[in-house]
Amino acid sequence: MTAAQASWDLDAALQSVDGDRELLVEMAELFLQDSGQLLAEIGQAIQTGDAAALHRSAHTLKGSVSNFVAREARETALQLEMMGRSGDLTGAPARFNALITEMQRVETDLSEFARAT
Amino acid sequence: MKVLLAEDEAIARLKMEKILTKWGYEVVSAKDGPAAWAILRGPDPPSLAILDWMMPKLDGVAVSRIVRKRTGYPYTYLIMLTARGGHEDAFLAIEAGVDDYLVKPVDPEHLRSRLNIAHRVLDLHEQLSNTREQMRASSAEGPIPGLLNRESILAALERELLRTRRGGTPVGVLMAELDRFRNVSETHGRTGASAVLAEVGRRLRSALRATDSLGCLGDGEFLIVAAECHPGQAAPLAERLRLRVSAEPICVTLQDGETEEISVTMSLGTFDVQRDADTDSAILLSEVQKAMQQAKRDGFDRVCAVGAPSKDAVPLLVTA
Repeated sequence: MTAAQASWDLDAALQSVDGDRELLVEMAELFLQDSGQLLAEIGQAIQTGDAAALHRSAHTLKGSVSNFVAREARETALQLEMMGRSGDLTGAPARFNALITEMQRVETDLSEFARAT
Repeated sequence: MKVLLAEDEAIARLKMEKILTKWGYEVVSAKDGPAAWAILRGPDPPSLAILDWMMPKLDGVAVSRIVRKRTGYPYTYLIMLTARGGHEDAFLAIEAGVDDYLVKPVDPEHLRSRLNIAHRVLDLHEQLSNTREQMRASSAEGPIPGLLNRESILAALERELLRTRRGGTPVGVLMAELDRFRNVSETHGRTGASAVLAEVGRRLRSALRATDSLGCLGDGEFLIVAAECHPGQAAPLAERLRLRVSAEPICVTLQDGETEEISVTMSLGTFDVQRDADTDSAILLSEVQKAMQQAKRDGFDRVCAVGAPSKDAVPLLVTA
């Protein structure tokens, strides 16, 4: 896999933890534990049309993927956060599908990183 | 150094905890605003806090506002974390009282330099409060506004006695005590007692010349050193002070907001020091104290003089 295809930026993420690879692995493991729950909360908020809950849960997931400089996932989560904030959830299901796909890529990459380290 | 880390997002919290610990900080973590506030107002609170803006229940801005509103705590340096591209407005955070803000994800080098600023500011705050404490301790003013403390009034007495020994300038020494002052404290509490002492201090001062020294020896106990006070003048001066203090009741506002009028009287002892007198301050103070106690034994609210005036006493020169 080339750098352009990676769902996250290892170098930038490493820099953000002061070069502590072990800590980054620990963070990745925590992410893999929690990410399913975070996604489920976003899905539920969209399903029930709860804009405030979407705003909050998308913000949390955005923060979570930011730790790994996963730009694509972060951008998609930000769009959902903004939709939750504006109260207009029209495009939310489509963005949510895109988020699920991207999150799968991030999870695969991060579990590979955790295993390899 | 202890630092509070308030961050609801688990991965960012883990990351910051580890990095700060590696840098030698003792990290106390909170997952939301109320938990952060509980730590900041708890025993031995950290003086440095890193607060995430968006937190459940109480956000970082709200926590900053509460911290800045409180009084009686040492300064807390607040660093706010904001999300990049978010709608959070840094100015709002600054207006809420934060000292600094950083955009997430936080770059460690950046954080480290900002923490250096925090240390510099906290060091300055500590120096400032130490200096203020020292000034308060070394201030010549005692617990009553405008009055010298015990140490300073005794120093003033020594200075005047030295003048007497050198140049023969007579000096009058007056010791005064409020009658049954303990009753005032017991009935009206510390607030009432302090207000009474402040007013008595004002009344005494207003009846003295600028060259006279007035100080507080203890609770309700005063010492007056009247410079160039000729033999026989100390007792009339004491009488004037006695009348001034008890002239009218003292109106005080108590802690519960009630106002009350408190009547006080004062017993005084005086000692005229002449050029040929024994001018050792310890003996002098003991003599004047005996005189004051005699005034109390005689029924309070009066003056008792020792150090009988010599035959060449001059007319009263003391004016209010």
